[in-house]
Amino acid sequence: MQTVKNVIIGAAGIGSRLGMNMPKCLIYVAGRRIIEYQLELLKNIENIRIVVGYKEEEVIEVVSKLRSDVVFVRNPQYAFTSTMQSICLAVNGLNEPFVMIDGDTIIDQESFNSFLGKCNNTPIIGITKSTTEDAVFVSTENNEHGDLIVTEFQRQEPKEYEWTGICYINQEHLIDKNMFVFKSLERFLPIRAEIIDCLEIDTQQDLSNANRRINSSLMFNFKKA
Amino acid sequence: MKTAICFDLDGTITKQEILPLIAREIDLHDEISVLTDATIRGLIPFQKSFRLRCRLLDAVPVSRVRQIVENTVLNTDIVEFINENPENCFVVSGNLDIWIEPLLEKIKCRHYVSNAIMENDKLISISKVLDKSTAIEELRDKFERIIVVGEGMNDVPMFELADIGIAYGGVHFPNSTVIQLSRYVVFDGVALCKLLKTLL
Repeated sequence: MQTVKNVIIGAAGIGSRLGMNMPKCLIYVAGRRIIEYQLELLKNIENIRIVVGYKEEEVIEVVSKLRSDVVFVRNPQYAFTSTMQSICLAVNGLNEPFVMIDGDTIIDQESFNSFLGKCNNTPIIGITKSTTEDAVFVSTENNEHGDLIVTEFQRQEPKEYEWTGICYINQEHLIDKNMFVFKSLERFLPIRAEIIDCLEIDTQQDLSNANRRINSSLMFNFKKA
Repeated sequence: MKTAICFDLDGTITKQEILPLIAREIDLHDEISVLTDATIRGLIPFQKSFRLRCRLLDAVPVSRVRQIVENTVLNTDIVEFINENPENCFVVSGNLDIWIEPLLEKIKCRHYVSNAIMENDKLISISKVLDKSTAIEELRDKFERIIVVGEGMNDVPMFELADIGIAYGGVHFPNSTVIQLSRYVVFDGVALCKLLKTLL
């Protein structure tokens, strides 16, 4: 049974490292916009909130045609605020746990479904095999039940896994301040981890890699355009 | 916290714009639609456009207008929400009292609307076009928080004074200024009502 009812997508930022003069959620990867992959992934989720800021009306126009019951939450201060502050705007009044996703991440359906299957009122952090050097790495270990847990976030020393920006949490895990989400989650470590196959599009290199991987690989269960 | 929720009527609670529907009677549907659309987008000031549209539509007997208005398709989710929360909800509409009375009876909540005078089943004159900000000013004393839901340029005065604005594109894509003054932008009646429940 699907227990996750709420998903919040953070799509307010400028995405300056990618430098495409377009919000990252609207970027095409292998013929489809990133947000299309995400909405396909989330088609069974009851409530979706998307935080918009940079070029908000473009995002709203495109997304409302793809799925009409999305609630758009505006962050007019997007240029000066963090992902955490954007998510806090969306969480306001939501007294239930939610899954948080960055608007620049393409996620494999099968591994996301398996992640959703584990969500049951205790927080979970989505991690993936490290691919970049400037990632937020996670130290992991197995607890006494054999579950994978995150024991530390850090940016200095590369580790096998990095944080995906995806997590299943509730309002109390966040602080409405201009800081990184993982800094707030640190207070609650250790937290259970789930491995999610996903691609984050931060740079042109990430975009080329994602195009290549989706076009050629059978690993990702994406419908090609 | 005591919260008031103010709903625009045309294109928010109704799934159709009312004036173009009335205009069908005198074969001016397309013309009134153009005026209505331009007014929602803010190209023509609401007061002037509204008086002009009423002048064009006064050829239709008031009783016939009421019949048409009565059959306007409503967003049943929103009406249900209002009926569940009658103490908190208000209709704030620039439309004329003598025309929209049948809808206000169905929606069953308090309202702020424009006023007109009729004689022998004919609209004679408009005595007051509602400035939506006056509704919010009046509600300020009675409620701690005011939420507004709407989509057109004539909703802007109430969005400016509200605590939480929700731009609702149930029929039209919301006006840009309304979006700029909103905290949320929503296109689906069920999603709107769920959001309102989290805010009440």
